[in-house]
Amino acid sequence: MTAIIECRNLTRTFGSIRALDNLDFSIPAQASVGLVGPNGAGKTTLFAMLCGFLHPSKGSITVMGHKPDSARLKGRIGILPQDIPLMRGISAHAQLILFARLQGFNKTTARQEIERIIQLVNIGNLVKQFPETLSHGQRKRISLAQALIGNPGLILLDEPTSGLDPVVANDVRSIIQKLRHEHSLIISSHNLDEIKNVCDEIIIIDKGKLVRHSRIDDLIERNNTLTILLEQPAEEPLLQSLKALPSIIKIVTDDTNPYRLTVIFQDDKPDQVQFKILGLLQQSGVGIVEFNRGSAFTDRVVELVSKH
Amino acid sequence: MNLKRIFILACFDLRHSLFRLKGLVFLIPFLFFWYLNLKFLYERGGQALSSPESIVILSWLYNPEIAQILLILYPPVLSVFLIMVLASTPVFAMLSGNDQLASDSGRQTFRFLLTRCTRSEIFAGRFLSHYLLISLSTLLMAVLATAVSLQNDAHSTTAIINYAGQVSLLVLIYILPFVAYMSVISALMSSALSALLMSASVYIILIILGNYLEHKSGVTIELLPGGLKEYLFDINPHDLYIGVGGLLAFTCIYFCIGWLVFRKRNI
Repeated sequence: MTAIIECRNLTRTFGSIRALDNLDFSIPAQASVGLVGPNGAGKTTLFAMLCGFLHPSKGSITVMGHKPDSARLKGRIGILPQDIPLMRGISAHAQLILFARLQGFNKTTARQEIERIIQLVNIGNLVKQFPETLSHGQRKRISLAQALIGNPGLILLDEPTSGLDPVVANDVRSIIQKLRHEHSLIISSHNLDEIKNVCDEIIIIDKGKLVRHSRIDDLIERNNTLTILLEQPAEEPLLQSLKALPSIIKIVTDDTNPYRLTVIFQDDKPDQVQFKILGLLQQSGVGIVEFNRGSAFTDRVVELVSKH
Repeated sequence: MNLKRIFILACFDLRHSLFRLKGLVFLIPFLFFWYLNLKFLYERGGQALSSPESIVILSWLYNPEIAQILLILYPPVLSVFLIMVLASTPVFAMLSGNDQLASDSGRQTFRFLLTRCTRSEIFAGRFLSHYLLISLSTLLMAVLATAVSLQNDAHSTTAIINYAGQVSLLVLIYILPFVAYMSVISALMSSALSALLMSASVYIILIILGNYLEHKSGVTIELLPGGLKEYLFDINPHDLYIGVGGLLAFTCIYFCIGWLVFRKRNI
């Protein structure tokens, strides 16, 4: 599969600060990728470079085979920047029409396209207003709308649900779920559940360096690991019983959270293993709060970043 | 560079400038200034402007030959209009052009445009919209000044119309380097106010520096397009070509510096 993004030794410095340090990765077309890292890791800088807002200090970056600021990419990338305001004193609708016109729509088709986007993002009641009169969440939905104009091949979403109330955040997640089947998608977020639910791949960066780039399934070892959150701490007899089950390789307990167990097994039929464990827990009278295939995603990411 | 996108950007910016602070900061003082001056020309124009007193005053500002050409040979209302435009253009260019690029660069609003058009298109679009804003406003005043001239001046209608065309053309060329000057300052700064203050400061420094260098070397050194305005009054075609050529050269230099700054700027 051809790469939609290729970074080779990508470095960006701001004075003495290395925001990105020799990043090396490629992302295949039609992938949905989560970009994860602590605050100041370089996520927003990477987004800015993918769009050509910033130039590399060293190394190279290509998007769809072109340099990010190439004229050939214009209108083919949609971006939801983090907390960047639209123009003041101009209605959101007028700005959306401008963006559509710049992407090659004529006056009539631009209006039709904006109507489609308004329906998609459900912002019909917001677009006639000036951006400065809208709340943070409303402005974010307008910004999301502009990123979807003209069905761009690559969509970059920087913290798409941060600062949104739960209802709107849920709407935005539904829109992103729809988009992932039609577009290449890169999402930067601190919400790891969001990343896990929407993305196929994850890129973890810290202090500008690549920590891990892998498929999410590989990272959380979905096929041979179970994470169980119990109602009460697991006693030693229960742990021994679990270890005695066939196919169980290891039981990992968490000192910081005695309610959580991670079960590592090796079996061609993981469903059967799950049923056996559930049966054993039922026999022991231990209630279950959560039962997940794979290791806890958040724990894996935190572990990788802290080891880095 | 896509000309259609430049045109779309320029039209959008021009249309919305008229109703936003960045346009009103220019339009309100501009209209007030010209209301007062056109009213004065309407009430006191014609013969009063051709009087010996007026010629003496203008001789003091420029030279007697130019004063006589402007106030006797040409329709005096339009000549005074031209003098006022040339004198006021630096100030109005600063008021209209301070937000060409500055605040949208500072607030990173250009990021919404940059995925749809190139930096060069944004730069050219903003240059064009600000040039159109100040030049169309000035042309509108030129039309009103022509009407006042037709009413008050003793020259023939044909002579007035011909001279009005010549004045309009000179004004259009004269405005160009000032808009380009503002594109340099605006590309450097991150807010409209800072661009306005910086443009005024740099302009004053260049005037002082030009006078100092002239005093030291004994040779006329023009660091600003305003120094070329005397060439534009002259009826000698050679001087007129020097004036127009100089203005176009200033435009090219400022435009290129502005583009080099904006091209490298993190926006």
